[in-house]
Amino acid sequence: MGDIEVHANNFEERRKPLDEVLVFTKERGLDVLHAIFEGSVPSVFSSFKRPGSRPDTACAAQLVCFLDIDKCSIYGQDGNDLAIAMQWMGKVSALQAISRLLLPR
Amino acid sequence: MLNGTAAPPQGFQPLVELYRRLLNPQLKLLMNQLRMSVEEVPVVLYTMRPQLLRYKSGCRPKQINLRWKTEWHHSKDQVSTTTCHSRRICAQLLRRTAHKVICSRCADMLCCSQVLIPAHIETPREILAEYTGGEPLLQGELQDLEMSFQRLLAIRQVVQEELGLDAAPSTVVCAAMKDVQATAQKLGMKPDVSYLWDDNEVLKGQPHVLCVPPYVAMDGERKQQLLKFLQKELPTESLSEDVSDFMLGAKEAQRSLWRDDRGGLHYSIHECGPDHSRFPIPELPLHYDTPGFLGMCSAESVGQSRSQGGFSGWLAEFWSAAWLKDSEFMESRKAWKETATMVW
Repeated sequence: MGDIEVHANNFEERRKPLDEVLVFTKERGLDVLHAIFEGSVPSVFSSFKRPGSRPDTACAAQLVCFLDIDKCSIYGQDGNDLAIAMQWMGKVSALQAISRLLLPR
Repeated sequence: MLNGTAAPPQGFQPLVELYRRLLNPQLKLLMNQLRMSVEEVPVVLYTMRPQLLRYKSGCRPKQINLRWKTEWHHSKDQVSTTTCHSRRICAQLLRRTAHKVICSRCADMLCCSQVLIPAHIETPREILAEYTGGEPLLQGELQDLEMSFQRLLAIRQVVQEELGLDAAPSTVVCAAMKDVQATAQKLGMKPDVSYLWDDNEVLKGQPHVLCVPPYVAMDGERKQQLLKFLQKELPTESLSEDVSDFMLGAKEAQRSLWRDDRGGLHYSIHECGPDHSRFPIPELPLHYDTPGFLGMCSAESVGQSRSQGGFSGWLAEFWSAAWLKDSEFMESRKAWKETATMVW
């Protein structure tokens, strides 16, 4: 790691000569990762590739995400009446006159 | 009939701010996770709100089948071509008739039980202006519906803002069992890449449905933020008797207000620990050689064009020992570790 550390102390120094300085082998890379992650390198690095090489697997093009609202996207059943109370209590002035009979229970 | 208007309704923003504090934090994590491995992630809100289709009026003892703009409703031809994936939709009918595909009665039920609120709709009044039902609605009923749609649009806005979506998500309201693939087809999306995240146990096991734990309790920090907001915007002392009676009348599990022995009112928000089980994700082709959430993924950030070959910038930065001293890089490392744990 010596050559890495030398240049790591100065950002400007690091910018230019990194490619020339770093002899970037997979074994060496994993050594550094072990140091960083204190020995437990996440498995996400298991297919660690040489930088610049694209993976064989492409990103999925699209996934349509349907989201339920009540108790999934938001807390409780329509916010457990909190929003209804807010509407009732004059935050929506035009609707203040609503009778409680109108609200389904 | 009420005229549509582009102006946001009065009092809309406080409602949005309330829902912002009620939003499930797992949604953001899910989107971050999906965006790492999928190029495009359109979002659709899919909610069961029978009251917006089969309206039980509080003004008169009557159920009114609400009909909105024809194009917004699912049409029979689009449903009937679909195999009945969700046999629970018409489980009773299927048991009776032993049909292997969706039956016509079930298709009819689906047609009148689901409606799309398009993304371009901005106010509840625009929706009410599209009412085409045969039964004229009373003023009180219109106001009630306006409030319901206002809450729905407020939630939609929060989801859009918090998930960083370019446009408001389409919103589908149903009055019967959900069918994600038929709905995707209706929306012109690919059913095979459409998935529904839902807490409803009844949907468990259905294709392309990912069941999640119900969000009925929030962590302590979020709870305190919500309570602080409520005390500022909607202090319990200000609640009218009608409103407090209404809130106290909810089922115990869903009650958000309680009264102490001295008659004082207090908000009740269920609390859970900080660790939530994350939303499941469908199996996707994943790769992580350029983690986009790290600010250092850009090759240009270290003056190295990717097209020139050689080593990518983020990796060199990531490997440098100096970033361990830098708090920003420590944050990146934390995010990385969290994401790695989240995905693997």
